[in-house]
Amino acid sequence: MTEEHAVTFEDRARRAGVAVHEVDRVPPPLTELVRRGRRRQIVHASSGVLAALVLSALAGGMVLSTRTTRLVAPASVQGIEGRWVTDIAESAVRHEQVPAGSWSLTITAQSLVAQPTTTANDAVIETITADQTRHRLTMLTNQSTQVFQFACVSSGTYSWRVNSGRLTLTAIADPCRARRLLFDTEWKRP
Amino acid sequence: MHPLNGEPSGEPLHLAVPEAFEVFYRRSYGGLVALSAALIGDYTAAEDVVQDALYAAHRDWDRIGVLDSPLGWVRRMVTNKSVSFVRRRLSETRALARWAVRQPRSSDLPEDAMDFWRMVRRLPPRQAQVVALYYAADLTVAEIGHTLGVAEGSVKATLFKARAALARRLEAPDRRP
Repeated sequence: MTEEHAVTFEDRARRAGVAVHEVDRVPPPLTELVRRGRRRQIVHASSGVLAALVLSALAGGMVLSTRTTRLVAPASVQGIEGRWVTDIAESAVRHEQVPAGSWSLTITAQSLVAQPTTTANDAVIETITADQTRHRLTMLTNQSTQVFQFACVSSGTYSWRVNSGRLTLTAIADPCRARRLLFDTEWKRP
Repeated sequence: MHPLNGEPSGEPLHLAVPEAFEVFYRRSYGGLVALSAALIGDYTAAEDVVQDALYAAHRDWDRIGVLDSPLGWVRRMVTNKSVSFVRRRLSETRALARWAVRQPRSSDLPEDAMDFWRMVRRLPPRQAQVVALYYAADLTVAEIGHTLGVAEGSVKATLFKARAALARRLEAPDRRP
């Protein structure tokens, strides 16, 4: 890039940057934002339920199974509630998707928040359901499920095990690679 | 114009009390729509993307509101969703892809700016994100690194490549559909 081109390009880029702000968009009332968001969420959830029903039907589960439906126990994360920490090692695979360094993980009955201690404005926030009987934790995908620059568009299920004060999360099913890289590891109490 | 090695500025850091969501929402909406529109080329779709991201922030505001940079969190979501939106739209059908590239509904923009952002959307997604954050969101390299969760050096290299590619293309515009 010559200096003359660089100046021309820079001016043009700056003008284009300013121009996108000159199209004035007024935010809808907050109540409208929430109403639309809920409606979209219902549509997403309905699509998910429909897909699950179709898959079940294809698997023959709905037609052939004679088992009665078992009530799911209330979500419980007894034993793994609270704060955990880990060090994520630098590696070629993780480098791009999950920053290396110290991480904290806070688990409550409804949610899980993972945060690197070095860049406090980054956080992975997941809504969860827990099956205490089978020691399984399902991270439910919603609009906010995002591991750094990678959005996870499907839910992931992990088993948990606590041994000598260390929590191990192991992916049972999680199509989202970035989330697996983050959670499929061992955590300890701070 | 901010220097390549500029210090992060603008957003307040270390908020002791989370800002009320409504204040955050009104303050950030326009800028986020501009950022998304630069990447998508369609203000209506950009508003959908931004509203989805802001609704997600609203639902988790107890946690997101106390982060050092809630706006950084939402910006990242908006840039990712915008790039995903373009990718999804491009992959739907060839005809739709042609429409997406040649006739974005950003006709509100001057021709020159429209051409610039059209070229940006043809860059690899990460380069497009960095250019949009630099020129449309007016962030420094350090802030972009923070927003995308990558090192400053990586942002500089990506921005350098993107600018070189754009300068070449804008000098001899690519007329392919």
